[in-house]
Amino acid sequence: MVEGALRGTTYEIDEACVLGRALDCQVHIQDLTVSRRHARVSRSNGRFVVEDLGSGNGTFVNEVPVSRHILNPGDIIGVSTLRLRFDEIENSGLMTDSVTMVGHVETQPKILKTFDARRFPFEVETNRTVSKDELQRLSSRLKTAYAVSEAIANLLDLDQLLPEILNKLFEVFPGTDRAFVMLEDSPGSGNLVPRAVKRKRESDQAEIQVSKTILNDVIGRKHAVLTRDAMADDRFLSGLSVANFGIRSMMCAPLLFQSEVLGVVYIDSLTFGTFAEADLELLSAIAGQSALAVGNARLHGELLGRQRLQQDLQLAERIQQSFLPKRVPRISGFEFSARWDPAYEVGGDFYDFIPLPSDRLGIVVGDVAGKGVAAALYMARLTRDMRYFALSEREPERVLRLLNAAVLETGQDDLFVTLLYAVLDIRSCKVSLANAGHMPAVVRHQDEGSLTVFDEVSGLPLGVLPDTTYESVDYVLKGGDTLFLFTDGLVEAQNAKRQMFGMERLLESLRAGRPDAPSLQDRAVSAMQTFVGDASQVDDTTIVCVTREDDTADLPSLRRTIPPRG
Amino acid sequence: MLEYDKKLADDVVVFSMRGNLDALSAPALKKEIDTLLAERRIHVVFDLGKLELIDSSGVGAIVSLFKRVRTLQGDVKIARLAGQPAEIFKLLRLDRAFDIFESVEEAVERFHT
Repeated sequence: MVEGALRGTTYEIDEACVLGRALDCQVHIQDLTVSRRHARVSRSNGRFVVEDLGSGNGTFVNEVPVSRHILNPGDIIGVSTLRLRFDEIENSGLMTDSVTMVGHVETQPKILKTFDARRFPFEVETNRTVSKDELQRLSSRLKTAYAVSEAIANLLDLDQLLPEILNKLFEVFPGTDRAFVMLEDSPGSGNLVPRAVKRKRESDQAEIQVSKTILNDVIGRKHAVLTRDAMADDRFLSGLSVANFGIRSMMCAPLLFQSEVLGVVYIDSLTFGTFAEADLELLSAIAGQSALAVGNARLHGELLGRQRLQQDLQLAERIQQSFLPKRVPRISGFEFSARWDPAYEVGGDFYDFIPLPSDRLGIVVGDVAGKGVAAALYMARLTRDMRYFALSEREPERVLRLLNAAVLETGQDDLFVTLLYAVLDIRSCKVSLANAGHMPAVVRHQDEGSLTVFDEVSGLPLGVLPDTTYESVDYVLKGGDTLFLFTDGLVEAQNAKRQMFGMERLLESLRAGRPDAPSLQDRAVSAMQTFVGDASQVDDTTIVCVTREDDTADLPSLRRTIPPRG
Repeated sequence: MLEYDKKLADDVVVFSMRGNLDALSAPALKKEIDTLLAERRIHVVFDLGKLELIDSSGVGAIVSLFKRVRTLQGDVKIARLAGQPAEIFKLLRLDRAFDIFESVEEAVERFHT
């Protein structure tokens, strides 16, 4: 109010307000020259309009008497001696903010017609004669639906697709004043949020209120609805101008994709009776095409996300694999085999063969606690450190001591590493084993059922306590002996009953059958896989084996093939 | 499935676990551990009497707490270690890193001596 007793007061108008002397007026003026209900300011078509309500002294805008006038910001409304300035507060939010779902709309919409959205539109009842006109109408509508489908089918980006769907709706239904698309905020959530809004007039900033009842009806029963505000009928019949009351007819159809409701399309008109009952079928058809496009765009988006994650993992996998041996060593008199099977693309398991001076070979099998990219990358670093320490220290227990300090230096609390380090002297066939909390080394001897498990000499995992010391144990491989090294993923593999494969079952699989490296490895893996069955709860599994070939094994057969002299 | 129960005996937190402490349940335990440390609880007893199964992720969670409380001059003690978890602790040689007790009372008592 710029002039009058209540000068300086601001009145906020949401939808409508009445100025007058009556106590129930939102702008209540105690002045006998003001009528009881003098004037009304209300929203219409997104604009604010002032109307004189048949007052005694008239209503003025910028000092000009008016009966009804569309207000512009800055206009001065005059009522008797009072002056009020009209201002609009800019709606700076996203356009979609202007769509709200309400439980109760002032004018509760009345459903005029519904159409089952699961039905194919434009169905012609076969037991009924169809007029030429009707066929023509059907054909033209099919053409329209097809054209819409053509226009939107290849838009895979929702930000392009949704506005285009709205454009097409405006083209197909010229009487449309406002249209919007609501989609689930996340797939399967069932929670619809407005995603795109289009209005015929840019000046139209009015909030679009949508009845929750109608939306639930559209979603729940999967049908398209045509409604008209119930009170509109009465007002229309009473002869008042309908345009001023924000009366609308509206249509709303579900976006059905593979029988799942992805969202809704909604259009309304502020002109009475814009949409005919036949339009509902056409809207349903367009909604069907739109749903297909939205569904495809959504799948495409998910695929892109997956691809990005996949690329990250593939990068980590490449880094990790670049640190793993490309092939097993080929050393005369020995047979090697190795298997590295990460639970995911990347894992915390690793192994390495390190050529050492004086005809020795370092064999490493380890497991970085934790999974995924972080464990994989740490593993890559650990492999490098391990190689460095292996070359600078001769005794395996000393190598582990240095490595323990290096792991602790990272300062990562939940990081620890179990590792088994074996140094094989190729000339003497002596193996020196040092173990940092890792699964014990097993030697399968040539005779069936004969195993040695090195479970006595082991220290703490790397990275648990500073100044940890380790011990090593020596064992000389005899002809036909296989050194079997593995990670805990092999024995911790669980079946559907969440039982672990376990050490006993593993040893059992190693006891029977051929003693060579590839055979032991295959038997261990297949025994584990048989036990686990279809259960998907698997950890990384790594197995590294080395067999000292039996140089006497072929002798008996040689004797047989050499015919006795005589 | 892992169920756990947290009790306070003076300044010692007794953490009783039941069920499986594995890759599936370890993240929940890690959250509890973060809470403990945020509250500056550095004397912890893990009562594993009803723990049926532990895997490397579960051990990782316990080792993580162990390393963190030790930097704060605290300690983690283990009570009633048996069955598969006992085998895993032995296998990983963690029986050498942790003080292990027959009963929760003994473990709590040790913090006070």
